[in-house]
Amino acid sequence: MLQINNLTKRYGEKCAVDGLTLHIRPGELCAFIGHNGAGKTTTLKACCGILDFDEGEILVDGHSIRTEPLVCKQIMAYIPDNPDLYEFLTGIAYLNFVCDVYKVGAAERKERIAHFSELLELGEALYQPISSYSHGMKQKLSLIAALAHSPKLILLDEPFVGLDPKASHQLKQVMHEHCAAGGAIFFSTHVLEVAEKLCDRVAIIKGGKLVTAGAMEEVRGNASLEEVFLELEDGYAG
Amino acid sequence: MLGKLIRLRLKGMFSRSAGGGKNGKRKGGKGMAILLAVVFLYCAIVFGFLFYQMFGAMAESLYGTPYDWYFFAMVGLFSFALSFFFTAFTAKSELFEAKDNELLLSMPIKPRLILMSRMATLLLMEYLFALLVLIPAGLAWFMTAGVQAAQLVLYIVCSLLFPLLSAAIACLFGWLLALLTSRVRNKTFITMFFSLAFMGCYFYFYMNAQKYITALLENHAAIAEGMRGWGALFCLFGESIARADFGKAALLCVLSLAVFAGMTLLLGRGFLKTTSAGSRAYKKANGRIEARSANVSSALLRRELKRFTSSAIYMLNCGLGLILTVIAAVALLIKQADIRALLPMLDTFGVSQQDAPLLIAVALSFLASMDIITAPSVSLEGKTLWILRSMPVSARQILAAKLKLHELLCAIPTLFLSVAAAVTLRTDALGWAALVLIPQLFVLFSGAFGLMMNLLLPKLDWTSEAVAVKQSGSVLVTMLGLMVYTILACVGLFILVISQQLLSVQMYVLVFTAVSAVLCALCLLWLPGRGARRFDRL
Repeated sequence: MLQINNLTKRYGEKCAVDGLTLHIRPGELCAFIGHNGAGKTTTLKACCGILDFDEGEILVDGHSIRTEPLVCKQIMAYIPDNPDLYEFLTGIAYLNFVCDVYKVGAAERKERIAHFSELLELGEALYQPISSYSHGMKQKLSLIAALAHSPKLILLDEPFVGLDPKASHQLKQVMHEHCAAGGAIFFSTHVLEVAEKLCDRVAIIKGGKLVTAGAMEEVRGNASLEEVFLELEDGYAG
Repeated sequence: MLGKLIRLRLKGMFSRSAGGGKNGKRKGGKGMAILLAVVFLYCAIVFGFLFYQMFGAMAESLYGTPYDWYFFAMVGLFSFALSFFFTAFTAKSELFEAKDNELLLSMPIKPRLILMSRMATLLLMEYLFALLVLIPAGLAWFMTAGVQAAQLVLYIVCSLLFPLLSAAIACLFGWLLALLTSRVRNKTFITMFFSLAFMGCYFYFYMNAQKYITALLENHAAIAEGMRGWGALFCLFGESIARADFGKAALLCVLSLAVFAGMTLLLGRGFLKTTSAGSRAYKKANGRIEARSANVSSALLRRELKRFTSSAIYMLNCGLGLILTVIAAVALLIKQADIRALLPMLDTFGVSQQDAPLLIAVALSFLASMDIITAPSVSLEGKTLWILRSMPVSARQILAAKLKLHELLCAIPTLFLSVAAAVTLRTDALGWAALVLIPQLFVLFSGAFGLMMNLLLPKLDWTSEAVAVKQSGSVLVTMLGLMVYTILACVGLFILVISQQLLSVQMYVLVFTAVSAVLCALCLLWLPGRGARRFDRL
């Protein structure tokens, strides 16, 4: 579903992502972990076509993000860590805009918006301007917007930040259901316990380089993910 | 700390940023500084000339009379009115709606200091506007009356402190407006209402300025005495300088400082409350999901329209020409006979009356160039740019929607004005064609040029919408560029047609239209290619 081959991104002199190669197959839920500034957000942004990169290739369902960006974007959704949304719209107007762009039919969008807004308890607030939303409400709205067009691949940057415990629980459920239905999710997180319990795959990045990636059981072995992560962070010389 | 906050605020106002920050390189702000200086110089020359003429006549009439203080009182009144008029609405957005208010309030900084830093930048603007009156008026007086050291010193000192008053009143107005808009659902409507009322007063005064000035000079004794009641502060300003009265000057300075300090204290107390006040009136959900589907280009266009209509500051600064266009059309239809009576005046310039539609078509084009809706439209994406960038829409589609909105909003009022002009002039088919097509070409040109400028000079890191709409490079260049083009066209008309008679009016208008069409075509060709690539790299 997502093939990242030898991805390299530089900001001036600094190499933010250095030759990263990672493949995520349909049905996989992959956590992307690393310290602050390791290159997680840069990788995610490059994958969804927001950020141009210097070397390498990214394929989404076999389509290159560089040469066929619109085809790739049509089948994926991205949610940034700090969702700045259109404050001049109401929640429902924003969702309708997203659905229009992704060509979701009226009946379909009605059903999906109703379902996810009920699940994430945002029903009433949908008719308020986004400018009045809290961070968590914006996070929920961007989740609904992402799920409303049934993408095959979802890229999430710190999706659990700002969500209340119930919404967090429901998001995990939705993520599982999405992958069970054949979709794929690639998300960054600092909450290692969540990654450990939720994901079947994990990728660890340090200083822009992929330290390790694989099935959760293989990566952590008999230790916890936290122990493995700290060991790799301390020990890996790059 | 206050110094740091002021520097931060000024940096935010003047910095030219955009995508340049990504690779760690800062694009130089020198060009922007020069541009701002050029714009200010241009305004200073235009306003300076107008005020010099106006106050020159007043100085000649009042010098040597017992009402010489009245001259300075009027200087005070005009500088106060001009600076208040131009900063009252900025006060609301700068003080209470800045995007970094929450960030700064979360830091160990006293809210009063944050407010003071914002008031200081506002005060800087007050000075800029007040000086547009104070310098030419001062020159006019001292050239008429001669320089007296005490008068000059007091003029400088009082001029430095008097803008504190207009700043304080502008802040109070901004605060009241912010309080009011936080309690109603349709903030934009309220802000627009007040702004248009303000504009209406301004234009009413501007149109009748000559009549008022004559009345002021003819009845200065009565008005001056009457002013002692409602305009005691302006009288104090006038008497301090005219009589070189240090006591009154000291009183004025203390008063100005006290009012400003009092306002700082007053607003400082309610700053946190006002900045954190959300809207209290929302539409209630009816339990049903409103699902209205549209195609991609309609959705993008609707989004642009919503963006435009949700921001009073955007509508007023970039779409004011629309209102003026409609007003002009209605005025033309009402005053048809009067306009037609003016046509014989063209003969005195050696221009045939039959060429009037061509000249009017050029004039309408200049009015159309006042609409610069596209000039800040890319900058206004700000931090929400990621949404469009992550969606399956091309940069071309996004830019097309921005240009289409400009076309939709500007083409119809301009067409209305063209029809009104054609009806008024009772023109033939060629006149109709010129009156309709040339302004429409200019509508397209100003939209395409504004969008191109915004792609070349984007400002995405704004903390207050006012920065993107009023102070960004793209808006200034678009405004200035179209203005320079206008001036060059007028100069060309005067030299080539009226003075030297090297070209006929028809030929001149044909050349003007052809040049405008070529420039428009160049912009339109640039936008989907290089422009779209530039958008993708933002």
